[in-house]
Parts: sequence; structure tokens; C-alpha cells
Amino acid sequence: MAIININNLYKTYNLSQVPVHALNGINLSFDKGEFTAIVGPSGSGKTTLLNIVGGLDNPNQGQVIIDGTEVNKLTKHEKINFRLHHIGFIFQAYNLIPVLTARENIEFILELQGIPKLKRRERSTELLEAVGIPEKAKIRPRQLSGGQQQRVAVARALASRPRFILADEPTANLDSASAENLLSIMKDLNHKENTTFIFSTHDERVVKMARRIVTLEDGKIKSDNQV
Amino acid sequence: MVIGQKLADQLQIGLRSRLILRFQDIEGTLTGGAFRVAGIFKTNNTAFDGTNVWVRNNDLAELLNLCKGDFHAAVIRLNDSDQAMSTSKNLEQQLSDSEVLSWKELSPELGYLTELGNTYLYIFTIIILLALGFGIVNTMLMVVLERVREIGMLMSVGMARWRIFFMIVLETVMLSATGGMIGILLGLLMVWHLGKTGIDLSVWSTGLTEMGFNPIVYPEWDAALVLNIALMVVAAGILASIYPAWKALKLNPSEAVRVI
Ligand SMILES: Nc1ncnc2c1ncn2[C@@H]1O[C@H](COP(=O)(O)OP(=O)(O)OP(=O)(O)O)[C@@H](O)[C@H]1O
Ligand SMILES: [Mg+2]
Repeated sequence: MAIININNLYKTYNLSQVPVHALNGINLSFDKGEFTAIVGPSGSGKTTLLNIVGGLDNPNQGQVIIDGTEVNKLTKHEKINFRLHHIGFIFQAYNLIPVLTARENIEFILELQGIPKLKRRERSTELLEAVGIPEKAKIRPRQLSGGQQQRVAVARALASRPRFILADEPTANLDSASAENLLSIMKDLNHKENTTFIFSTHDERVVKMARRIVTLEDGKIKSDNQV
Repeated sequence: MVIGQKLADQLQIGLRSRLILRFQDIEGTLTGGAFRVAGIFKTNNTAFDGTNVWVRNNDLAELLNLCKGDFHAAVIRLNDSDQAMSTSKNLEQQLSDSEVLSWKELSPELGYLTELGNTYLYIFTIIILLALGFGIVNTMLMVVLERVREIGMLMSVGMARWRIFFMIVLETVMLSATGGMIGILLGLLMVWHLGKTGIDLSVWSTGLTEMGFNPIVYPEWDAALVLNIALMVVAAGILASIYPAWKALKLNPSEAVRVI
């Protein structure tokens, strides 16, 4: 059962004289509970694809349908609300709010959703355990290692149990040991909470841990393999 | 009699000099008397010193055929100069056979000068607030530009636009309120100190004494004025934050998170 359907997606950037066809007719679907890596050379359109799926950007043509909702037809305001309630985001860097502690960062989205404090506490405690840093609850991002920061970011993305999580190169700033570690935590949570993960990466060791690998090249799908 | 220094200088007289004063008595007949200068006084008001002499009430009463308790003028000093107008209006109604004048009517140029001073104060305040406003706009624009990625991330994860707007406005208000508080505290300390020592303006004071002002100024602190200025600072902060906050709103999340 597909939760995301991508139909004939095109995205062209016209900033320079030569238009850049970042996405060139993408057709894809993602099922519930997937753990999928989007790979491909630099400039192949990975970030562009994830941004459009997440409603951060609009395509020039084609559509993204998430559980029956056509995301790019929503208004600005509806898109923000849709992201808040249905999509988890993990970025490469600057994921966390520097003035909040790890726990407060994890609870941030729940707070935006208006979930009561007790429930937030419960969920953040559970997730701090799940990502293996319960003792860092009161620490601010600056005092956490890059790997620990990304674990907090994973916990935050998962906190509201979104339909799926989009992660654009979540391990790009990590050494390969921390990268593998983060991926195994993500895979664990993918299994335990049955959360769909879609992430882009350059790291071969990270790619190996994915269950499905979609390869992009020049804005087109080159290959799509279940592992 | 006691004579003002300026008048004494003009008449080229000194202590123990004799002076003939002429005036009309109560019936209007011309009369006069000789007085000896017993003292020379100097006030901050040279105009006053040049036009006033003091004699004993009894001596004058005798010459003018006055009864005990006859006066042609009485001066009432109030603690608050702002009340002068209303008090004089009140008295005028009660004392229908007398003329009641407030200090602004007696000496309109003084009143005019005071009002001019207040107007200048307001103009200066507005100029300072404008400068403050631009300072705040500049600071907050930097804050927004420095945090493009963070704001982009907040928008991406679904923070409503009004919350982001409000966040920037709130930050600005807190910043300007903290700064305002420190400024007021420093101002109070300065007023408190200068209120004791006074500011000596006598170097530039010839004009001041001509007008009857004291050349040593003792600043006072006026709670209402301080509160007013504090509110104006916060208001300037809110106004100045609107542009940076709007700038933050216009960020495109997909591009903002790409910024290094
Ligand atoms: N905002 C933009 N304006 C203009 N061109 C853009 C913009 N964003 C991306 N592009 C172009 O679109 C193409 C795809 O970019 P994209 O960032 O999606 O690639 P990517 O696969 O994520 O690359 P990387 O692995 O380096 O992150 C590139 O050629 C890029 O130059
Ligand atoms: Mg990219």
C-alpha cells in the first residue's frame, strides 16, 4: 500500500541562461514502513526531489500525492500544517534549536502541535532511550557531538509519529562510525515504530543498510532496487 | 533699605548712601522719603536686581498713610508650577475685587521659554527614538540573516508563519526593553548624582539670569516622563521589528536550509 505517489515530476531551475532540469520526469511510489536510500552523483536532484515531496518546494509539472492529498495543490498555510502533522524532517546540519536542551528540541514539534506537557514528557523520554542518549536530556546542542545532535534530530522527527521521515544527507557531517551508528538507530526505529524513512546519501556504508535503493542521475531514475 | 546690586551699580551708590524715593500715597498725593542703603542684594535674576528695592513695611505704611494689614499685592508660591493656572483661576473667582495673575501672565516670555524648552525636548526625543528605531532594524536584520538556516528549519518542520513573526517581534521587544531598562537605570543614577551636586551653567548663564533662571540646575526625575519614554522605546522596538520579522517570513524554506 503506497503512502506516497510521485507522478511524472519535473523541476527546472531557470536561474542561469541554461535552464537546469533538476528533475526530469520522476515516477515513484513509497510504501508504509519503507527504509529507502536515494543515491546518485552530486547535482542529480536528490535534494530537489526530497524538498518537493516534503512540500518545501513546488514542481513545474507533475504531482506528489500523500495518502490522497495532493501536496503541491495546498496553500502555503496548509502546507506548513501538513508538514507539522504528517512529515518528519532531518537535515544535514543546523537541525536543532541551539537555546533548547535535547529534550526540549525533541518535544518542540509536539509543542507546536499543542500536545500536553505530560504526554510530551513521556514521548521524549521514550525517544531519548531509543536513540541511546537518555543522560543527555538536559544538555544543549552545542555540548553534544555531531552524532549525538543527529540522534536528537532523529528523535525529534519521530516524536509526533509522522507518516514518513525525509532526511537529506543526515550523515554527511558525521564520520563513518557515527554514520553507521545513526543509521542502525534509524533502522531500529523504522522496525519498532513502523515509520517510513526516505533519506539521501553519498556514503556507501550507509547505502548498504537501506532496504531499497533508488538511484538518480540527471534528474531521472537510473535504477530502483530492493535489497 | 536694601537695594539690588545692578540698580546700585547703575545709580553708582554704595552702602550707607541716601536715596530719596517718591510715590503716591493712598489718596493719590505725591509723597516721598529718604532712605539709607543698609544692604545690597544679588539674586540670580539681574532684571529683578535692577528694578527692586526693599524697605520696611512700617516705614512705608507711615509715608503712605496705610492702615495695618493693607497690601497692594500678595505672592502665592505653589509647589507645583503646573497648578499655577488652575489655582489662579480659582482665586480669581473667589476674590472678585482683585486681579489674579499666574506667573505665565505676569511674565509671558518666561512661560514661552519654558514651553519652547519642552517642545525642544520632544523634538530631541523623537530624533533619538528614530535613531534607536534604525539601530534596532539593523540589529534585527543581522539577527535574521545570521539565522536563515535556523528559521528555514523552523519553517520546514511546520512552525506557523505567525509564530515566526511573533518570535522575531518578541525578541526585539525583549532586547529593547532590556536596553531601555539599563538606560533608565543609568539615567536615574546620573540624575540622582547631579540632583545633589547640580549642573553649573553659569559659564553660559548671562542669558539665563537675565530671564530669571537659576544658573545651577538641579535635575529631577519625573516618573511619568520616564514611564512615557520607556513605553516609547518599547513601541519603537515593536515598530522597528516589523520589517526584519517580515523579511524572515519571506524566506523560502527550501532555499533557506541550503544556505551554508
Ligand atoms: N535553488 C536553486 N536554484 C538553481 N539551481 C538549483 C537550485 N537548487 C538546485 N539547483 C540545481 O539543480 C540540480 C539538482 O540539485 P540538487 O541539490 O537536487 O542535487 P543533489 O543531488 O542534492 O546534489 P548533492 O548530492 O550535491 O546534494 C543541480 O544542478 C543544482 O545546481
Ligand atoms: Mg543535496
